Amino acid sequence: MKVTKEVLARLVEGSGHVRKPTLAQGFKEWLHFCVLGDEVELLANFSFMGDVARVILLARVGQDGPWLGDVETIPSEQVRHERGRIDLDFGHNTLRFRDGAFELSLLLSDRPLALRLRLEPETVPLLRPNTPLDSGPIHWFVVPRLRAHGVLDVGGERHRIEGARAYHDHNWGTFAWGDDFGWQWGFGLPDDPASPFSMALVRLVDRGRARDLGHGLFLWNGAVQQRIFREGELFVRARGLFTPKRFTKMPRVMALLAPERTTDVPERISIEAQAHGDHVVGEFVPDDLLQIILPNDRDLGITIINEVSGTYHLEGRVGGAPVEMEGRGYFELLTT
Amino acid sequence: MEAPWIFSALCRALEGRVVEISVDDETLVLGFSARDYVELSAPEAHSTVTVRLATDAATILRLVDAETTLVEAVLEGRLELRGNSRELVVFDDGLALYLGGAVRCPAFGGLLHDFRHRRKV
Repeated sequence: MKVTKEVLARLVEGSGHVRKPTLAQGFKEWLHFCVLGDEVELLANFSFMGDVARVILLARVGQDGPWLGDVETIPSEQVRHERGRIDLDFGHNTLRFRDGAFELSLLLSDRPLALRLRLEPETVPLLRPNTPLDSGPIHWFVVPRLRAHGVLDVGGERHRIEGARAYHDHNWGTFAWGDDFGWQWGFGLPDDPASPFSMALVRLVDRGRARDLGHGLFLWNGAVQQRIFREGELFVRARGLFTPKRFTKMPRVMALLAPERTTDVPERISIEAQAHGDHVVGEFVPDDLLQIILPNDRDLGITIINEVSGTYHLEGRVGGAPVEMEGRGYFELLTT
Repeated sequence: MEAPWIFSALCRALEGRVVEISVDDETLVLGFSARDYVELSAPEAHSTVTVRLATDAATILRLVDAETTLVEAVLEGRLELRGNSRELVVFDDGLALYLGGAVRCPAFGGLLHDFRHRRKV
């Protein structure tokens, strides 16, 4: 079957739709987008934590530019969603899936940041339901490679986004922040637009990172998934400690509850996967850190999601053919 | 009430204390019991105040926007705390509980938005 734009659209609509139920206590769901442009990098996120809806829009202009933006809570009377569709209104922030692409429109109320973006999937998505956590399963859906077009307005200055690499994942489930789990979640997209590869890595661990609850390295070649390396085939090693040039904490108010300027983000993350004659090795090297800080659900502690940007390379052989990719990506490291 | 368990913890932590908070020209005095608080008249409660906090709206917004820290604001004289050392420690515990409750209450986003925009008018 040829993977056409129409096939990709049907797959995204069929498996990537919103799941939030009417009675949502304990339910969590987020649709997350990351764009790696030449000039701009940004994170955009629509989430439900129970019945509380939030948007996140964070952007930096240039690799050394500060992270701008914020996390905003949307009053419940301004939230509209339709279960079973990708169709969200969070105040004047919207997310739709139309004509084979995600369409995002965000305008922060208290920061001079606005985004209009269209993201076209370029790979078949992956759906991984029912990964068990102690307090309930987490389900996830990922489109590791999209092409983004749009504009980002920063304080009145317009930045065009034309054909930028992008990533999307969508997670949902009924679980509690602060429970006995953590994760390491990464993706990488090649700098060379002609490179057909993309990858995602997931590793679920317990809170002390002493027990591995499940992991996988997922490789796509062009539009199709080429290889999954699963438990026993994948080894992830962290080395050293990363010293960030700055600490950016979001929502900003959470810096009052988490003022620490130390982190356990590693200096390097090495990946090796091997099974049935296929073998890849790679490394991710961080260069910037952004912390999303969440209050725990059942106690007064906090959970920190370290959004770590950096460069990576991955090389090896799969199915007898060479795999080589190099570029930028993000690792998300959850710390409780 | 959006976080009653934290409100209860806050009252227990500050039980028996009277806290005076001044922001710009406004002063609020709160007296805490084990389960609740009452707003007291500033002049009448003056002699019973346990801890006094005085600051301005600009400093509060800088704290909320992570442009400064509590320690920096105190050292730079933009936030003043008065009380004996034991009561200041208790107040710090109470403040941490208050902030922990605030970030768990969805309504606080709107309150902060209004506070920020009232200053601009």
